[in-house]
Amino acid sequence: MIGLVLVSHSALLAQGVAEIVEQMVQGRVPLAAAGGTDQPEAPIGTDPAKVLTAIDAVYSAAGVDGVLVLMDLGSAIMSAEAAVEMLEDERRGRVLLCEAPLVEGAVAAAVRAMTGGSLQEAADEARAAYAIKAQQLAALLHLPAADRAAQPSALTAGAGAAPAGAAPARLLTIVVPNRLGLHARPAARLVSLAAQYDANITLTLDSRTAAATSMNQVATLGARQGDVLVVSATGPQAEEALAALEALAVDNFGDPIAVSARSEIITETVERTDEAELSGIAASDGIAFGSAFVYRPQAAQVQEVTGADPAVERQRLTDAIAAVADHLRSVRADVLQRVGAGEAGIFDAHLLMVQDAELLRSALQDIELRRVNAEAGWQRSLQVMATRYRTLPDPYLARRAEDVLDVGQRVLRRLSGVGPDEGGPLLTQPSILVAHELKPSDLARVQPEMVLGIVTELGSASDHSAILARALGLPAVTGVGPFLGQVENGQTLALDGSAGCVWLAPTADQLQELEQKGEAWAKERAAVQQSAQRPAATRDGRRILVGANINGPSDVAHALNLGAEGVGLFRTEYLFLDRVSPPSEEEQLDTYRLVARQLKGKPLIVRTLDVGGDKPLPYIRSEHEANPFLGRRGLRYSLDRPAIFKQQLRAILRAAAEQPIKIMFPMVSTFDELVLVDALLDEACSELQGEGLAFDDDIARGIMIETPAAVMAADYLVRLVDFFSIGTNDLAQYMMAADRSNAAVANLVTPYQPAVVRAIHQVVEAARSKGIPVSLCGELAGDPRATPLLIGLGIGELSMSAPAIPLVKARIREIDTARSQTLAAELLTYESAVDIEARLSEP
Amino acid sequence: MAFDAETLRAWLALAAERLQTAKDDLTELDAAIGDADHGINIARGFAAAADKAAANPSDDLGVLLKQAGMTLMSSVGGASGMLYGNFFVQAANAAAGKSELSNSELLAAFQRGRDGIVQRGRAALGDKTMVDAWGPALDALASGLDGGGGLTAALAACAAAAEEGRDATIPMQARKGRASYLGPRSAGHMDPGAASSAILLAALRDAVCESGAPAQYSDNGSV
Repeated sequence: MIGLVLVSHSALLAQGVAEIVEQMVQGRVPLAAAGGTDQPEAPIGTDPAKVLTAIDAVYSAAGVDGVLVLMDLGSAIMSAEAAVEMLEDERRGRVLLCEAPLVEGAVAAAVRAMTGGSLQEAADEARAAYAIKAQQLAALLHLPAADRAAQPSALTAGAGAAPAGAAPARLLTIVVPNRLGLHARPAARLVSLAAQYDANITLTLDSRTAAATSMNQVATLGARQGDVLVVSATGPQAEEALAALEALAVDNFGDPIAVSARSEIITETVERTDEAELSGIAASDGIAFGSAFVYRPQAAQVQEVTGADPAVERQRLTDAIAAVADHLRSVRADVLQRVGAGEAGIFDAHLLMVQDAELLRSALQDIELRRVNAEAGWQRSLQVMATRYRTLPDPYLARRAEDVLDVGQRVLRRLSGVGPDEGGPLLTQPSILVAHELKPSDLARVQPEMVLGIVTELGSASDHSAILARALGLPAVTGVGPFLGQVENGQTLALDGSAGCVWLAPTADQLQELEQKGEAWAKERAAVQQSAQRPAATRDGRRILVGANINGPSDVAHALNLGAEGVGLFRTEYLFLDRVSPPSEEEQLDTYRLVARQLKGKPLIVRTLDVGGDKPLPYIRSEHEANPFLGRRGLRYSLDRPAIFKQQLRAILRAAAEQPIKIMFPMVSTFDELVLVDALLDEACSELQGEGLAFDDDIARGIMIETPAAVMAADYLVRLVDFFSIGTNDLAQYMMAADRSNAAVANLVTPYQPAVVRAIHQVVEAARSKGIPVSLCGELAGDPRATPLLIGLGIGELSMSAPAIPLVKARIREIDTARSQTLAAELLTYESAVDIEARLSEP
Repeated sequence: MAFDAETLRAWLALAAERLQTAKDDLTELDAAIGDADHGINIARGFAAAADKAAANPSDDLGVLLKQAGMTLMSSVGGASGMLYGNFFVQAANAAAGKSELSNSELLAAFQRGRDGIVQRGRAALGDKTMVDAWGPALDALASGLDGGGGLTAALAACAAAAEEGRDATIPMQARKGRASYLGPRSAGHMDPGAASSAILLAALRDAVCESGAPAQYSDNGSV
């Protein structure tokens, strides 16, 4: 087992921490305090000799094979380091200095040590103690004082008791039914519902309390499936609020997931399902059965070696990082080709993480200064970074800790001599891939033809792996919970990705039934794919043009295969990003031509550069903006750099000489901007004419409607344009004045907000006055639930990410225009996004 | 003139004396941006190191330097003890088994000692620490010796550079140590570690001068 050494400037403090720890471990973990100095005139300080003595003392206890050293600040760190340097060689490798906070870290590490934890495990536990404390305080510090006072008495007195001297609190006990606990989306629903009532509502889990109206607090409670949440409400509408929350909980907190575990508002725990039949999240449609391939990735084991040559270790580490980055780039290229730009973007994030300067700097510091091997330096740097992510209050960012560790593991595997490929699942025959968790990089490697289906213990319907599985057309059930212990390689499994069910020992009857269902599903899918090639029209014969959003020429073939009838949004920024100088006019011309030629006369809308302070171009100096989303973005950016802008206009005008191309401008907010654009277009035209180059002198010009200003001004902006295209993602953010990357307000940002629906309506009305078409190119366009609403509102063209096209086309064919108009008129009277979304989700 | 056990004993004794004189000034500096113990701690530490060196009959510089380093680590208590201690321990590694050091050996030992300070303190130039004195001081020592001006002149340049480095810490904002908790409020105060380092290097210059030539105190080491 391992022991602990506690180093402090103060002998009293070190001894005091030791006493707290002793209380927990009762002598079962060898422990020594090294506090203060032996100088009577200066007792506060540290002494490496004392630390060394303490380490040796712990080491000589029976059965100790490792020592974790926790310390306070400054010279305590230095003394501990000096002591480790003085240790005998064979002991030195088994002593770990841990940066965790002294008191919390010591308690956590000692408890882990008591239960047989390794040095590394105890250190991890110690570090996590900080995150737990940070979360706890984040939840408590923002609570209104009155609630804080009321909370403990309500809890200790048990259900139904009212705290003395306060308004009686109503209590509700919920057993969290969701597979993944109260993760971001159910938490957002709970928060937005709670906010609608005039009541103070708090949620308590164990000893932690969160205000029900704070997204961050609710999400960081970390309530998991089966956890018992106590909801307490005071105030005029306490009763109504609790009734509404109860209904939401019974409804699985709005998670539209096939979960067979019953949702219960009770005090007993959720029942486990039949062991042979598991249920999880229906992550990707389809039926699969066959032999299981159980993927158990081995985390690289890191042994710290000191006394290594820093120059050699530095080289090893930078080589390994470069190799992993190369590998990620090739995976990215592969995914880009097989799946699409959105999914490939996951690997951009991984590339940035693995090449992070801070990560490298901190590892190199260990390598140079502590003379450790590259593996140990990198591992420690990873853990520090992951801890930093984990303690962020934004749950989305906190989850990035896993990405850092995922990508960091690749470097460790590379360092340990196995290539970065090693460790991914290697299927040799078609099988069902079974794993605790599949990282995007794991899934990107598998050959789809070898994978019949996917089952994972962890995961959600919205995580990257689920998205990739859907894009690759692989049936998948995720979030099944612990079951790997019940599966062996080669065992026959069956899964239904549409229902979220997994059978560990399917009977002959079940298999037959599944086979039939699978055939029917495959037939239906083939039919959808096939019919996607045909134009889409409503039942009453109204044609709706369905196009694709693309980032470059390589996206076109995939989009056409999925039934795109054109490109409604060609984002040109990918031409401009990730390079050191702007693309030349000729290069742009080639790219636009390449896209247009593949489309063979189908419509193409090219959007001019849409960048801003959030993603500045390296070759253009840009001022720092405190608020880039309200800064120089889109058209504003281009108008400020007329040379680059005019070059793009010239390239588009020239490409449009041969193929039907329309031009579109992003982020418009005033009439004057369009006047400037017209002047620049005229200038570009007369230049081209003077140079004798072919161009389209009457190009159709349109604008993105993304700002509330453009919505309100649509009735006069219409005079200068030939079409409108509504970008619902940005429009929803700007309409709601909420940033969707901020978890506290992200739930406000949905295109189903009544304000957004009305904005779309208003824009369509303005366009109608001049008879110009309106298209829609945000995420909403690809959501089949929204299709009847959009058609009913009068949108004539939809442009979306290519994989959504077949389903949206199928949906269009079910729609009757008159009925969709009635539906749209009805929804325009709704007052809540939840109601609108719910109405549209009705079958 | 070479650096030997007697030079080291003289240096430590002179440093202890100067630091004793300057301890209140140093403590005052530390009171402004630290925990007000630098002067007392460091004076006690060097006094102990000087006593032990005087009592040790060995003429092996490796032994004597290491003893000084270990004594500083155990008797100062604060970070400066660990840093100075590591200077001497690392220098001892370079001087092991030698009873005197040539100029280039002395430079190598001191550079190793300076690296020991950087290694232990993880500080860089500009962090408002003793590194701001030791960095330029060792550079000056190296170029002084390279220029062939002799040890005395090189040590004078070294001490002068340490004093310049010490003064340069005044406007800096501390990024390491207890003072870093003060953030911008640490600017405007001299770093006590850089100040004691300048005293130490001035003492070295004078100790070497004294052993080779009549005493020529050009700086009394006050801060």
